Amino acid sequence: MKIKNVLSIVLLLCISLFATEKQKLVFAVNPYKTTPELQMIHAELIDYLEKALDSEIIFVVSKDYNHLITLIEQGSVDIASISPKLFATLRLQEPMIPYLASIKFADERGTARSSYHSLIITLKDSSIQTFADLKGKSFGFTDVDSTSGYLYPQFMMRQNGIDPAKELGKIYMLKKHPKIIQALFEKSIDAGAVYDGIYRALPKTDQEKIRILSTSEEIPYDAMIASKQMDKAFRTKIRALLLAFHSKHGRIAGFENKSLALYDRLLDLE
Amino acid sequence: MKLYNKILFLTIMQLAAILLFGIYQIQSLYLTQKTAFDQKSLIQSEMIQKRFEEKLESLQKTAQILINSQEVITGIISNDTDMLYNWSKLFLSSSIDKIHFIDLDGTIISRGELEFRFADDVSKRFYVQQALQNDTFLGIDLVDGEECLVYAKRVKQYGQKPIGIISIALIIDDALLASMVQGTTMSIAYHSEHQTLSTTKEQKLTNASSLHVMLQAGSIKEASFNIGLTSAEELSALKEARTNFFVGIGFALIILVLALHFTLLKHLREYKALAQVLIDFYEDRLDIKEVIATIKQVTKERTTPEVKKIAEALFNMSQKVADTQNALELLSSTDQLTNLSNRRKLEECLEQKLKESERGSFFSIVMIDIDRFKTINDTYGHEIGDHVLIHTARLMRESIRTSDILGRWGGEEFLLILPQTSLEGALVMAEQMRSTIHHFTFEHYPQRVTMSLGVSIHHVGDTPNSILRRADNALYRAKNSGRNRVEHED
Repeated sequence: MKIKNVLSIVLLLCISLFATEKQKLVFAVNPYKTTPELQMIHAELIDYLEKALDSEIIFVVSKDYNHLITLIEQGSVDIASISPKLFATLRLQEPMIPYLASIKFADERGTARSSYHSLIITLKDSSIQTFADLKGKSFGFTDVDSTSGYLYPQFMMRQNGIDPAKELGKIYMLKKHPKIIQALFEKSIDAGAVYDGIYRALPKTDQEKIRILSTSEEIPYDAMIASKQMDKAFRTKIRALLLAFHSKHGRIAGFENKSLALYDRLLDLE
Repeated sequence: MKLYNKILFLTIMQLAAILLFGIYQIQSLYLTQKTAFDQKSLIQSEMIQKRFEEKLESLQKTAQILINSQEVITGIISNDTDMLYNWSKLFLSSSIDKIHFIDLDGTIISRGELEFRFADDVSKRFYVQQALQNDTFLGIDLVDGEECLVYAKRVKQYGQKPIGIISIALIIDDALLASMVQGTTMSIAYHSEHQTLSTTKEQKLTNASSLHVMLQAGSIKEASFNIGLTSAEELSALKEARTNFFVGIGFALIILVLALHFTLLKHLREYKALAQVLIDFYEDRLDIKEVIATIKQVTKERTTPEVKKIAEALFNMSQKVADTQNALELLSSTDQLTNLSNRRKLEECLEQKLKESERGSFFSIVMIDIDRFKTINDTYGHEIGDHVLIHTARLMRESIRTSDILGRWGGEEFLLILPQTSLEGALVMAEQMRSTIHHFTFEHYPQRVTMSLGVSIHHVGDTPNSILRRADNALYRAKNSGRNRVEHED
């Protein structure tokens, strides 16, 4: 009897210990900035979700973009913030991947946007007035994986009768959008492609020096997705929480529901 | 050799020996230092040479590292300016100022030192052409308008297909030159057709030599590095010390010799003065009285105690010599019986008076003879004879003037020399003398003593014999005229 009682007490204590341990959720993001920067950007959101869900959120930065897909496919992450192009690619492989919401980023002026545009720009004093004038001219793209810095500009050029691979002059890969602006001002390139946020962030005097040759269609920002293993009700709860999230000072200003067609279209750009 | 010369010579010899030893020592030190200095300069030159070679090696190694990076290869192929910039900026250092990636057209894809400046054409640059044609270039050329040490190498994909060029450059500026000679006492100068740089403000380097640069001929003409001493300060200091020592010790030698010369002169002058007195005395330039007077003068002067003592000793000795001399003179010129001058003395005096007469003085002489003295001797004996002679002489001496000279001419004969005395004066004197003796009563001789006297006056052109002969003649006449009388002959 005594042994039974003791065992009962031990069992009850174990149950109570497990009962007090919080639920853990893994939140992964693309490495588009340094880990400390990403932690700072997502700090308010994570705090908000932890309190709302009464869960501990483990923040993970993937090694690279493809690594994030691997993590999602493995089910190692519960929720993830994924770049638009990557989301479109993932949807090809996993059409039923649960979409939660699209991130609204606040720009330098505090304006919250859930989408952006790609701009093909040149200097106002340049001879380039039309797409045709780009022939033989040096051009600065950011990265081959960049939607606004590479894919959309190439798409726009093709649509306007320019084969970027053959008809442009020297092509340079500058990785970062601000670098396109700087290289343009240095006259290292004749024209380049950037996302509109960079242009908007420029001082008025610098904006006046730039001629926008073309503006792309709307490009949605990163999508928040959930793991397929996640309980549907819990997913719904998280989606509602995300859509209800509003930040006045954070980089992530909130979330919005976007048409998935906007993401799927990105695959047609190549 | 004089004492002065001896002391001076010995001192100069010693000082010269010290000087020569000092010169030898400092010269040895100088040569040792110079050898060490030259050795140090050589080591430093080699060190600078090594540093230069390290700079070149650094350029080549960096290029090799970057060329071996697959990402760099990919970056060049895809004109990935950003990636190439990120790679190259990692290698920028004090030894590498510029890293450029250039495509086969000679267009810059990326600059490590300027993130946003690329896409310019450098195909006309010598180093680019050399790298494109000959695979590598290591030399001096203008890179972005600055003279640089450049290493340019063709980049190949899979080690075969040329895809572009990498150029690693180090700007030739004051900082580079300073880093080459840092921690050394050397200076380096770079000269080319465009510029001249130097780590020193000196126009010319001391012991300059060219840096051995294994560089290809570039587009920059007359480019050369020269290393040398900024200034041979250490050696100059040593040279200066040597010169100062020589001058100093030479000066000290002169001062010492002069000081010694004057000290010796000062001290030896007193000894010399005393010695000179003795020499003069020995060589008859001074008589003993003058010697005494001179020494007395010396003792009165401000002299050293030693000299004073010597002078006093000499003075006492001279006094003794003078006394002895006086005694001897007296002895040699005095008749011992009568204490009157003897014949020798009288002859001297006569000679003296005759000499004086040549200068206008005059004198008279009186030849005196005691009458019948032989009879006194024969009758009363020699003692009484001597007694008569002694007292007669005394009485005569008492009756003459101080300037008069009375002496015993021989036997009972006397001669009286009367300076500045005319014949009349002489006759008066002679008569007084005769009368005195004639009326004198001798203690041991009961008879009267008489004298016959012959007076003669000096004539111009007289000789001792001539004047004596006249006095003798007068005396002879006095004897012949009855004795106890005075006669004269002009």
